[in-house]
Amino acid sequence: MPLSHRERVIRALRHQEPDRVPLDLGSTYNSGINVIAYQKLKAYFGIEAEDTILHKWQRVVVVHEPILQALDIDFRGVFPGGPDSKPDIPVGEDGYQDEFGVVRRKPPGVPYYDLVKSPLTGPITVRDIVNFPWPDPHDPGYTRGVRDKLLDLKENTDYAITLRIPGAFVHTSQFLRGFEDWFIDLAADEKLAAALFDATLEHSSAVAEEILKVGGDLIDVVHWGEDLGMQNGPIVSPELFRRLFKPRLKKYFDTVKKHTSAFIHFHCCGSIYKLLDDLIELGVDVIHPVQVAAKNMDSSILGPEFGGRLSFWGGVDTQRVLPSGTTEEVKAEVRRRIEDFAPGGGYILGAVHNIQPGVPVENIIAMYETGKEYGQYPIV
Amino acid sequence: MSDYLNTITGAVQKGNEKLVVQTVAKALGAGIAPQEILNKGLISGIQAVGQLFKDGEAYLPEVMISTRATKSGIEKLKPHLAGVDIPKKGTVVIGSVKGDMHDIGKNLVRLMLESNGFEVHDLGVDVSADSFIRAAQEANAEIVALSALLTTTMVYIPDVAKALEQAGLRSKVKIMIGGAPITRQFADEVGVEGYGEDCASAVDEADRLVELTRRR
Repeated sequence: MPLSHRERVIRALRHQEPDRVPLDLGSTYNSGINVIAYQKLKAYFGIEAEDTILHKWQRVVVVHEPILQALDIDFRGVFPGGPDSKPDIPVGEDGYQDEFGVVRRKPPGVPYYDLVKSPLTGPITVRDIVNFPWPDPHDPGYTRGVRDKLLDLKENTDYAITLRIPGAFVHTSQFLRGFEDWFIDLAADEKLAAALFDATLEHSSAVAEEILKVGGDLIDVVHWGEDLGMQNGPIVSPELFRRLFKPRLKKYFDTVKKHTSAFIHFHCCGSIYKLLDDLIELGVDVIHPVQVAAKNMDSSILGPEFGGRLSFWGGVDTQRVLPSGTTEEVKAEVRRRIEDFAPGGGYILGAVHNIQPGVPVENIIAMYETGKEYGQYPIV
Repeated sequence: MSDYLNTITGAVQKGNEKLVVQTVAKALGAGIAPQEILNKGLISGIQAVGQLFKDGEAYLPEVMISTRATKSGIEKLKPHLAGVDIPKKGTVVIGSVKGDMHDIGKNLVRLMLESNGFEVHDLGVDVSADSFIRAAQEANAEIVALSALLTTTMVYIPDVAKALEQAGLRSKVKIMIGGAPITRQFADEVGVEGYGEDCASAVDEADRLVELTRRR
C-alpha cells in the first residue's frame, strides 16, 4: 500500500527510507516562489486565478492547489497572521511600516521590499530597548484561524503539515537595529546587543507559545528562520555564536519543544558548516535551505558527515543551476543531491530558498519531475 | 618609535578606537611623520584585518569596528596631513545602483578604500546614472564603483557605463563593480574594468585600476 504524504515525510525525517524523497513547494516562507516567477508556472498549468501574497516583503505567493497536486507536493503550510493592533501602514508611494516600526520600500522594477528604516538604529541605550513598544503577544491576530486551518488539513487531507512561528531574535533584532549597528554592537557593545536579543526573544517566545498552544498538537513540522551564514562563512565567529547566540537560541528551542513534538525545521542561509554541530545540539531536526554553493556546504560534504544526525530540506542550487542551467543540468543537479542526501532517508527536496524571477519554468518542472522519479527508493 | 606604530596596528586589528586615536596622538607628539603613522600604523592594520576576513578568520563585526577605528585614526591625522604633500591613491565615486537599497557591502568597501588612502565620495543607495556622472565630474574621479545586490538591479550597470560614455567620461574613468550576484565574468561581459569579490579585494582592485589610469 502506498504511503500517504504525511507518512512519507515522517519516515524521511525519522531517517528511515520512505517510498520516495518528499517534495516541498510553498509550505514555508522560504521554500516557495516569487510572484514574478510564479506567473510562468501558472501559465504552464493553465491557471488563471488571482495571486495571493504569502510573504509580503519577499513577495512570495500561495501556490494554487492544482499545481501542488500536479507536482505531487507532500506538504501544506499554515502561516499565522500579524497583530491586529499594529497593521502595516503605507509609507510614501512604494513603502510600508510593519508592526515593529520597520520601514521597507520596493522601488519600481525591483522584486522585493527592502529595509530602509530601523526604529532602534543609532546611539541608543538599554532603556530605549526596555521601553520599545512591542506588539502585544496575546493579540488575537497572531492566532486567528490557525487551529481551524490545521484541523482542516489534519482531518481532510493526508499532507504533512507545517506551521510557522516567529524567528527567535536574529532577524527581528537586525531589522530593529539596522544591520550595521547590529554588527558593530557585537564587537563594540555586547551588553547592548545582548539586551536587544533578550528583549526580542522575550517577545518572540511569547508569540510562539500562543501559536503553539493552539496548534502544536496538530502539526508535523514547526519552522522558523535565523540566517547565520554568508557565502563564505558564518556572519559571526563560532566563538561569538556560542557565547552570545547559542544560549538564547536554546531557550527558544526549549520553549518550542515544551509545546510540540513536531520536527523542528530550522531555516538558516549561507555557509553554516562551522555551526552545524551546535545546531544539532540545540535540537534542529532538519536544516533549510542548505545553500550548497556556499563554502563547505556542498551535499558531498554534508551528506556523509551529517547524514543520520540531521535532515536536509532544499539543496537544489539556485545561485547558478536553476536560473542559468539547461534542463539537463537541472536534472543532473537533482540526481546529484539525491545521491548525496537521500540514502537512509533524511532528505526533503526543493530549491535552495524561494524560486526567483528569471528561473525558466522548464527548470522548475524538471526539478520536481526528476525529484519524484529519481527519488524513488532504493536510490540507485 | 616603532612601538607606537605597532600599537596602532594592533589596536586597529582589535578595533580599539580609543587606543588608536590616543596612540596616533602620542605618535604625532613624538615627532613621527603623519605619512608613517598612516601607512605603517593604520593602513598596515586594516590590511591585516582585510586579509583575515578573506581567509575566513575574521568576521563582519571585527571588520566593522576595525574600519571604524581606522577612520577615527585618519580623522586624528587629517589636520597634520593637510600641510604635507601626501599623494592620495585616487578618487572614487561609489554608490548602490538605481533600485538597489542595499548598502552594507558598499559601505564596507567605502571604509576600506578610505582606510587604504583613497578619497571616496559616497552617493548612497538607489543612485541614478546621472548622479554618478555629476559626482565623477565634480570630484575628478578615476574610479566609479557600483554596487548591486540583486540580479534585477545589476542590469543597470551597463546603463551607467553607457551614460559615462555619452558624457565623454568613459575614457577617463574606470568602473569597478561588486555585490552578491556580480562575477568577474559579468564584469567582462558588460565591459567594465574592475570587479571586487569582497571589501578587502576591492582595495586591491582599486589599486590596480588606478595604476592602469596612471600608465596611460
